[in-house]
Parts: sequence; structure tokens; C-alpha cells
Amino acid sequence: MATNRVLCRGVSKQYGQSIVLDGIDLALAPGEAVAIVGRSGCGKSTLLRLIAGLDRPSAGSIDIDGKPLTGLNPHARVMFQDAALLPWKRVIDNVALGLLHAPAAQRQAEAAHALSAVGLGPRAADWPSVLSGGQRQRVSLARALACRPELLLLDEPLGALDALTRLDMQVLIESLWQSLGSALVLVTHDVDEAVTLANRILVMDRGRWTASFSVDLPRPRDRTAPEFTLLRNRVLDAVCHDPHRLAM
Amino acid sequence: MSMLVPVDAAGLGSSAARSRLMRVTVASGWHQLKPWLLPLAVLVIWEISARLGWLPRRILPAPSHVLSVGWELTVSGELPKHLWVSFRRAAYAMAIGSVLGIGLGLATGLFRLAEQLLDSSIQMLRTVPSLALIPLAILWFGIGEECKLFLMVVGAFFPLYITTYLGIRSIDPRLIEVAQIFGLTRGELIRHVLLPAALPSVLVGVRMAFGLMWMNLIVVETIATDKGIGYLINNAREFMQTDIIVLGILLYALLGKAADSTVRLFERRFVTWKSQFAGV
Repeated sequence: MATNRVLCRGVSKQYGQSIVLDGIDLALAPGEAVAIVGRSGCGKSTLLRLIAGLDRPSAGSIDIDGKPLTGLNPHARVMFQDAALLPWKRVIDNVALGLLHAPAAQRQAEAAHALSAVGLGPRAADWPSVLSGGQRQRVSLARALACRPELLLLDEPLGALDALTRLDMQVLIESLWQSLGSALVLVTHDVDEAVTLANRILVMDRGRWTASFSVDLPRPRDRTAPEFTLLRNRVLDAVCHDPHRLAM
Repeated sequence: MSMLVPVDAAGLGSSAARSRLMRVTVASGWHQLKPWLLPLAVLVIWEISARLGWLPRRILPAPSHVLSVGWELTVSGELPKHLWVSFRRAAYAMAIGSVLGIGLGLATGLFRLAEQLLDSSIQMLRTVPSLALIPLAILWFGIGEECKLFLMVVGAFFPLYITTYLGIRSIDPRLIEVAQIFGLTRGELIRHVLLPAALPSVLVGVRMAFGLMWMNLIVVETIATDKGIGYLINNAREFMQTDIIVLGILLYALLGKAADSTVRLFERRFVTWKSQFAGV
């Protein structure tokens, strides 16, 4: 059996008195796509930051490819809700950001390739400020994919986009993830998005897992299929179910 | 008749296109003219008032007269000499002030140790008006060039220091995180993220530095000098040559405008990525 790409054991994170993550276990196989859903503030983005190595857990351990993670995770690329492009670099140079250590010719070729993969080849020489929100997010995706990461971490990547653009982006993310074969962690509050993209859906509430679903629907997924709707409703139930909340 | 229609239509079309072209040219000419309207209007009113005798020559000579005095002084070589001395002082002061101000601003902006050691002291010194240092500068450097240069450098230093430091410190922390995730080294972070982020702010500092340095230049050129536009003005005052005084002031204004335009040119060249609010 192959080693897990990511293995979290008993990971906790505390900021002062508030416990954000409380003993989280997570095993992620290579090529697997996991979606973490939950209400805002449940700790899902914090877990993603820990896996990226941007923060350190207060307790527990995170192994990447069988080795404990210290410092930044060199195999991971993150895509944030805001595209976080460097405004003073043209689109193509933003995409090439992760390839600075590659030879110039290779850097140009791979950046151009990644940019055309997200359908923005003709905008290579533009400034990010003239792009639309959806286009910026596509550049951000191209930037994350340009260095062919083994682990792609998406932190509510489509949260700020309109519904139609979001559907296009989901199709794009799915096809790029399939062609790349990297492991994917998608943090989202959109249950439809989770069912569309993930092999497995984990529900988080107050820093703990409260439910887990495996998604065995054929890809690309048909949102109108009864199985899709059924699963979506079950996940939605799990997200909304809150034993601590007073009955209305 | 029917043969004529297309010809006529083409004729109309081309004349419409020509008049559109004219409108565009006129519009862009008008656009470039607008900033000069106010100074031109002032000059015209000033000239007319002087010609009609409303303004005595001792109070304010006519612009045409100032211009002719300027021409005489240029031909005699007097004016170019003073102009060159003032320009050289300004250039030296700006060069030294930029190296010190931007250099220290970068150091305190980038490195926490430098910030802890230097920033609060520099902020303390900043509140001292630089012209209050004149007596001290004279005691330290005498009344020669060094004293003048010192005071002008002081004027240029603080705006450059503050805008460089703030430019680096006000960067979006998310962008630094992105740089980390994408494996940029410390040097690459500085080169690809921090310096470009600070540049617009630094250029604002350069414009402010020109302003303050210029002000100090005017003041130091009135103390113990025998060259420079300030000397020209001061000397003219002794002989009540209002025309030369006005000429000197106009030259200061023109040099200041030239400096500002140069920085703007630089801004347009290097900060093209920034989309700015252009006013309503």
C-alpha cells in the first residue's frame, strides 16, 4: 500500500483560549480528492493552513509522504478565495511565480502551458487589475498548477464568484485535477461543489469531524441525477445538524 | 441618379470621418492645454495690468520685461552660471538624500532588528524642522557648500525614509504567504514582492522630498552665497531690481515643475500596473 500523501494524527490548534481544531485525524491517498465542508468558522481553513505548513499545530502530528512536516510543505500549492495575484506582475509572470528556480525557457513554456490550460493564453501580457474575478481565480489556479504539485489545497476557491462562473470553474478544476493526478483538498461551504468534485466528503463542526461520506458517482457528475441529489441532501443534513443548537 | 447615391454616401462618410478626426485632435489638444490655462490667464492679466500702468514696475514688472531681463542675463552668461550651481546643489542633495532615505527605509522596513534600533530615533528627529538646524549646520560645516548640502539632504531624507518604510510595511500579508507557499527565497521575496510593492509609495516620497529639498535650497541660497538663484534674488533685492527677483522666483517654479514631471514620467513608466482613480 502506498504511503499516504497527507496523514494527520490528533491535530489540534488553539489560539489563546479558543480551540479551533480538536484532535483531527485525516489520511489522504495520492490522487484522492477530499472535500471538507462545514459552517464558517468551524476550523476547516485552519486545517488547510496547517497542512500547507503556514501554521504549526498546537498538538498532534502531520506527515507528508511519510515524513513529519516541519516548516512549509514544499509539495503543496494553495489557492485562496481571493486570487492573491501580485498586482505588479503581468499574468504570465504571476503564473511563473512558483517556477522561479527553473531555467528561463522551461519556466516560460510551463507557465504558458498552464495559462492556456485555464483558457487564458491570450491574456498573458495583461495586468491582473484588468481581469474579472473569475479570470483572476483562473490565473491563480494556473499558478498553483504550473509547478505540477503533488498536493493541491483549495481554500474556498470559488466562494467569491458568481454561480455561472463557479460551474465553469468546477468543470475546469475537475479536468485539471484528473490530468495532473495530484491529491486535492477542497475546503468549501458549498455542498454541491463538494459532491461534484470530491471522492470523499468530510463534515467539520467546532474543530471535529462529525460525518464522512464517500462519493462513488461516475465523473463528470450529473447534478440532476437522483443519486447526486440524495447524497447532497444527506451531506446538507449533516452540515446543518447541530446538537448544540436550540430547537427552533 | 442612383449612380450618385453611393458616391454621395461615401463623400458624406469621409467628411464625417474627417470631422470626427478633427474633433478627436481638438479634444486631445484641449485636454493637454487645460493645465496651462490658469498660468496663461495669470500671465495675460499681469501683462495687461503692467502695460496699463496699474502695476508700478517697482512692485511687479510686466512678464515681457522679466523675460527680456532673463534673456539679457542668459546672453551675458550670468544666469546659466547661477542656474547650473543651483541645479547641481539640488542634484547632489537629492542623490545623497535618496541613498540615505531609501536605504535606511528599506533597512527598517525589511529587517526587524534595524527597525528596533533606528526607527524611533529617526521618527524623533523627523519632528525637528530642518531649518531649525541652520545655526548648528553653520557651526559644524561653516558657511560653505557642505552646510547648504547638509540642510537640503535633511529636507529630502525624511519623506523618502517614511514612504519607503511604510511602503514595505503596508503590503498585504496574504501576498507574502503566497510567496512563501511558492517557495520564494528571502532574496526573491524582497525582489519580486516587497520592492515592487513599495515602489509607488517611494515615488510619492520622491515628489515630497523634491518639495522640501527645494524649500531648503531657497532658504540656504539666501545665506552667505555668491552663486545660485537664491543669491541672484538676494542680490537683486539690495539694488531693488524687482524684475530679477521675479525672474528668480519664476525659475524656481519652473525647476520645481520639471522635477515633478520627471517623477511622474518615472511613475507612468514603472507603476503601469496600478489602476488609479482619475477623478470624476
